[in-house]
Amino acid sequence: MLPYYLRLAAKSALATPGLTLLTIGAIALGVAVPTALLSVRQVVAQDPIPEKSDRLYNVRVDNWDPASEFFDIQPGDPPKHIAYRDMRGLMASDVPRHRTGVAAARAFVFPERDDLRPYPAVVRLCHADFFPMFDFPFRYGGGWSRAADEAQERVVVLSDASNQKLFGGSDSVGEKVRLGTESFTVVGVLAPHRPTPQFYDVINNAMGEVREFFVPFDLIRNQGIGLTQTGDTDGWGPFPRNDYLAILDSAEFNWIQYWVELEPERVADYERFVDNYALSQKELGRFPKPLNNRVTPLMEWMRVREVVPPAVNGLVILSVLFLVVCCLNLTGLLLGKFLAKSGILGVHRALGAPRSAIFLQRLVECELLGLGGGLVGLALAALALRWIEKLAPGAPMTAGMFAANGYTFGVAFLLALAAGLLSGLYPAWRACRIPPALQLKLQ
Amino acid sequence: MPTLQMTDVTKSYRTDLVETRALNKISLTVETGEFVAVSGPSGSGKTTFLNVTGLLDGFESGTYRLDDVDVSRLSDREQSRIRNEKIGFVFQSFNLIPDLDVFDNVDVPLRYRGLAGAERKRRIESAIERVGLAARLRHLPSQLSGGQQQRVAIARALAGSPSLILADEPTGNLDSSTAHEIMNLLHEVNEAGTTIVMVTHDPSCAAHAARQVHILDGRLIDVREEMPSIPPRQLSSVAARAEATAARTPAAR
Repeated sequence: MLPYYLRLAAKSALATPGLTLLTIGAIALGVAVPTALLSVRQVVAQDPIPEKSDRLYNVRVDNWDPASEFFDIQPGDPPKHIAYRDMRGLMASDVPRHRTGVAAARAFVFPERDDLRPYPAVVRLCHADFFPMFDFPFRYGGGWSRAADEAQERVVVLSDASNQKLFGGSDSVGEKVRLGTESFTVVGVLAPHRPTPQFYDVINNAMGEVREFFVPFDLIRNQGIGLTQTGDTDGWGPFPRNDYLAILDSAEFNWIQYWVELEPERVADYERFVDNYALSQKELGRFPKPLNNRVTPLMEWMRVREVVPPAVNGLVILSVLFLVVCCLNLTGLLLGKFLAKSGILGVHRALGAPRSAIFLQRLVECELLGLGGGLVGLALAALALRWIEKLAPGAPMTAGMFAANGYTFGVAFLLALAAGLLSGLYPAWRACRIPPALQLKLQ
Repeated sequence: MPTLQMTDVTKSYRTDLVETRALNKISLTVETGEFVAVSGPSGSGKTTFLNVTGLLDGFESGTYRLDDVDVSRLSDREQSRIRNEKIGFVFQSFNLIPDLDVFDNVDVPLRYRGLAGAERKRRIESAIERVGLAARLRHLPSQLSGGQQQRVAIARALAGSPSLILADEPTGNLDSSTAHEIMNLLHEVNEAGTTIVMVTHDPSCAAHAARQVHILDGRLIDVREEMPSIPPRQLSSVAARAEATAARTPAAR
């Protein structure tokens, strides 16, 4: 009977085009807002690397001032970054399959091409394991070796965008790129790829574009190159302002996100290693607070860092309430429509339709209107997503990040069904409860 | 075998202040194939009688058997099934569904019966052919005259092959010539074996029925039982006289 009810519903909707448009418009508005916000939330909160997110861990150790509590998001947490020397210490463990520090520096790029002027760029500082650990795909070449890390070789991996810009997209492996004062050899070019969010750097660049250049981390030690550390930093204690190497090697100056890839059965071993490292630092007079280390799984790290800001969840709830208000208003409209048509319902009842059939017919009509509204709402949500992309404050949003996708479609579809149901349940129930004799009298 | 058997059926309407007894211990038996006209003045309970007979309204006491099935205490779903399978309705204002064309209007009861597409099509075309509207299959009710709309309503009632047709003032909205056509059509349907119970004001329509009953103040007077010697065609005038008498007598409610 469903196709028949759909046909009746379509005819009924077409018979009152003004009311139908009004209903569809209200549902569309009600559906569009939560659909857009839920889509944004989904992009931000999704598992960015589902095939191995359960093996990736962020590592923190607590080197903070005993006189004050480090407070960023949650009380009692250790600092969100680690210091350079702690990164060096943690790199000593061979328990993780892969490990890397993640930070950023600024540098000027001096292109070989005459038509390009020097320009400032943000360079990703990382270790050799960064690429296999985070599954970065390469278009040409590959990453560098751990030996290159140790030797502080002048090698660079280009993002696809940089390769397009500097080499017209051709295979540039072996070519030279001048960053700052030195010439770097291109060892790899990434294929177009943008983890969303950029989980390995949710503090500085969760929603931005992939950095343009990747160089061995320890090159930051060579101040002659012209790499200038950038990004969020925290510190306390003595700070040798004019000696950057001293800052790296002796100051409590935190600026690095540190990541390891661990097999699940090795997590406990690694946690022991981190604790032992912290205890060894205590013996050196550092880490004055009680042990407060964290080896945090990736998805939990994203929650800790509130990659989805609580305000977004609040907005989602408000938008759903907005949809509920739309539906409650529509309930009145639909009730009026169904009661005005009760004579026709009486004819159906006289011809053999039980109450349940009338209820279902009316509900199908509401769902049809709901789906119509959902379709328009989906289009509005897609427009809203493009608008959000352009207006997002502060963050270097990338085109297409918030484009409507299957999730958006699914959300709009479910919200439309829910809106149809919510708007139509009471009117449909009322319509089917009127005694047929009375309905026929109204015909 | 009786198609319809009512015994002491009572139905009242209540408001906070007043209770009106619309049907007062009505008993009526209609044999299969009969054509019964029910007449009576306005407010006498004719429509209530038709609603109760058509299972469109309930009643407080008494028993009602339709095709030997006690329909007094059935659930809504069971009553709906009986309305669908055993009863065909023809209303004064035709009661066609305005959004549906002729074919689809006749299709409605067959859909609720759950018949297959081919069977529905056969029945619809046959019923529409029978009322002479084969050329109007895809016309909307608004594109038809009153007489044609009532023919569609009759086709809709016939398509389900009911054992009982309930007609409520079927000619009330038609001119006399069209009314005559419709009555002839109902006559043909009755002659083909379908039992018809028709509520009417119009003595000339009532005269088409082989048997007439009169409702007055919720009570039923079977004119055949009261005056068995009078030929059917004259019974309508007897009923009219009874009605005139009733109009002069204060209602005993």
